[in-house]
Amino acid sequence: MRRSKNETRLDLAGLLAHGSLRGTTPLYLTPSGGLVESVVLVSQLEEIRQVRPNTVVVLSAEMGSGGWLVSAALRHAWERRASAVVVAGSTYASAAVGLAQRLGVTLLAADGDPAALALALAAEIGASLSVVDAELARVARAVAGDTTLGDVLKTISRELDGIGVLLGYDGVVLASAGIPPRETDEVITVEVGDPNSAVSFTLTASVPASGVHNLRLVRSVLEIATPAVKAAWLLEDQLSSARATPTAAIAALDQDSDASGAEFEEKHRHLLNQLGWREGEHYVAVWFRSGRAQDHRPELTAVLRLLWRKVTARSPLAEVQGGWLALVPAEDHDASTQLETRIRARLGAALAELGLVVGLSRWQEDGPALALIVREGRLAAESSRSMGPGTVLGLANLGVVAATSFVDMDAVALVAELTLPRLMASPDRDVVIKAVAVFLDHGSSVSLAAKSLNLHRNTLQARLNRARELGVPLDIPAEMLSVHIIAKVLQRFAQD
Amino acid sequence: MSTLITAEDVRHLRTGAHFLTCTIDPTAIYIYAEMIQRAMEGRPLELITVDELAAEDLVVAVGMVTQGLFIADMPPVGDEFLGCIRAIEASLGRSVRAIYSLAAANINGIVPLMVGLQSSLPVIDSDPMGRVFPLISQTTLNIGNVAIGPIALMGVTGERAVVEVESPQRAETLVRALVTELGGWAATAMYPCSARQLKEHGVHGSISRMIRIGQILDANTTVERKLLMLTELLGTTRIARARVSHIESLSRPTDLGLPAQPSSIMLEDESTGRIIHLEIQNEILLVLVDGAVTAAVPDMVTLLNSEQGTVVNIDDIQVGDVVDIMKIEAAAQWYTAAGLDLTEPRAFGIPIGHPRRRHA
Repeated sequence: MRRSKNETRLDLAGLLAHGSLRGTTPLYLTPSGGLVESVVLVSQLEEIRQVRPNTVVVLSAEMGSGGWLVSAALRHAWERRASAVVVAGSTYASAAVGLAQRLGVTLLAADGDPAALALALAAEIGASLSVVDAELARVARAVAGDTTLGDVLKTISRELDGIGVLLGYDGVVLASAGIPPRETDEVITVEVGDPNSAVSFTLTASVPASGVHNLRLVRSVLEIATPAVKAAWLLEDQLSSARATPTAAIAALDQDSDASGAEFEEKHRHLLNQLGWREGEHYVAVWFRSGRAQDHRPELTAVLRLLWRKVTARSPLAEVQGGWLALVPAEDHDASTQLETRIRARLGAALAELGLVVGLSRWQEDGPALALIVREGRLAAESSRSMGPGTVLGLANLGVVAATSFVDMDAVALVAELTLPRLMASPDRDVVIKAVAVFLDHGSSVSLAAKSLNLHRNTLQARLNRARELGVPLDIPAEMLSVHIIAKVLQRFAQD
Repeated sequence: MSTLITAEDVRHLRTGAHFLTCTIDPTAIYIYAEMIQRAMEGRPLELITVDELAAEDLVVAVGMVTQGLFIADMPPVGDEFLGCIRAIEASLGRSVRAIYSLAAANINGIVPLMVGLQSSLPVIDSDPMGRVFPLISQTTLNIGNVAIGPIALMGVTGERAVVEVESPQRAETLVRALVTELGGWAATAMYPCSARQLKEHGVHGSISRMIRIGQILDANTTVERKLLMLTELLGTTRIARARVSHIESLSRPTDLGLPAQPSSIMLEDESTGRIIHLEIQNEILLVLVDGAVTAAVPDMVTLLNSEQGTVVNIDDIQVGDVVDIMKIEAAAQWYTAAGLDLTEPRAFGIPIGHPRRRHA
């Protein structure tokens, strides 16, 4: 809307000067004027308790005109933040002027029939609203022409003088347009999507507190634009699904984990060509998955696709078994590193919010088979689970440490309970376990471990002897790996 | 346990009867109090509790019903109430054993003492209102379905009527018409019932309460001390101490045949700036503080002079007076649904419910 959003608003000053309240006698006028959004003709005092703010309350003639009635009506009007109270012209009302002043409610006396005045005011408010309706129809036409979500949001923001508009899911901003929101803004939110659907988006406008916007009108614009937002989102999701088919196919073909990359390419050469994958091209596999085991939520696909656009718009994201996969072209190692940095910077917080982790394959000079990099991405994603939601981890930074990610911590803890009962029951358990873990981390060097723990070596030695007393086999080389794993797992549990 | 009433008690009773109905011209109360005090010289006056009677003893309410005429303007001859009691006895074929007040305030709070002296019947320390209401149908006996009739009326001219009627509302209409014809007021005897019925459905301790209120207000002590003692006795609350800023008579239309014209008073609480609106008809029906209902009939509202602690007559109020607005809860029966139906502001033509009804 090119015009300011307050042009359609009616206020008491205007209505008294040249509107339907012109014929009334002001008994008391509030200095601030007052917005008028509706009018109510009441015949029972109790009806005033239901009026909306910014309403002109007209007391019907049959209610009578006693001073008590005006006083009680003013009180109810004040409680409901009404704009004004109109009473039948009467000398009785004059006694209540002091109360109107005290409560800050405009009090007007109607010379004629209050019902006729209420009708005239209702017509004036109706005419004003019809202007709003015409504006809303124009907004609806404007957003109907947009095909992408970004365009729809830009159009909404433009129509609302550039205010911030964003599409969110569960506190995560998926897309936005206009001025970034500030804390002082008035936030108006409408739901987008079927309430029964698993995923429900919210469309939010951040209206500056300058007061020039009619908040009800802003809400109406958001509501009008909701179908266009939904349509654009569905269209984009559908297009993304279609574009992601080759990526999804790679993940589906890679079921034979024993096969080498070369065998895979040989076996599926024809299909890969048909899907559009070119031999010798370098890719990095980006694998998203839930931070918890066995918790894949397919309903997040649409949300992730919107987020993924913040990283790259060209490589589609496919929903695959156990997660989501994108294959991003990367010409050199730097491009691969930049990709990882970009994902961390732009999606890290949102992924943490959604309880997701990301794994990336390594960039390699010889351009390994797609099946291999997909496996690497998945492996990296699996490994990053142990570091908590929001982790973005490249396999290149992980190396053999990845192996420890596949240790079943609960099973190891159970082994410890069964095989080292005295250690587990000991009150100084945590200190002893830490000593053992650090000792083994330093290749069984008491000096290095003591230095790392900031302890005297005799103290550490005493703790290791205590571990031996409690049944920890520290002197059998064949059992050293198992002891080390148990110590690391118990240390993790102690930290948690 | 019966009590002998002294002349001093009558003086306090007069003050108490006035306190509970501050709006009425108290001349008649004063005239009656003086008559009673003179009549008492050398004659005992017995106040009994309803428990002292046999369950089936016939008791009857006595009281003045007025229709626009102050009793002081045309004083009674003196035999009117005795005539009414005789008419009730003739109608029912039984002797009346004791009398009780039609109301526990104003002239009808004190009249039974005179009738007791004249008839030698004991006066019961109970009544069917626990305060005063303008209509004879507004009684706790009516809530308890105790018959109002037969009703005996006798005017100053000696004319007498007995109305045999069942519906209290119909009785209201007939009695009002007769009172107009009898000269503007009439002595009446009504609600003849058994002592058991009165015990079950009446309000008790009415006369002794008025005496106690009078003792407090007549005492030579500070206003604050008097207010404190009233609070202890009645659970009185002070709504505000405020200055009268505006008085308005005929403040709203009335078509209910209520025996008084409506008026209203606006006051301002100078310490807080609150604006108080009193709506009056016979008595203070409604108190709005900043437009919010703070007290409403059947609550009793009375005004005290802020300097002397004496009861203020509505008729004497002038702009600029500073008064304490006191609220006293009525008898518990009045706050039941049936009680509120009879006495909340709606019953007086003010379309507003009592605040307690919402929480009922």
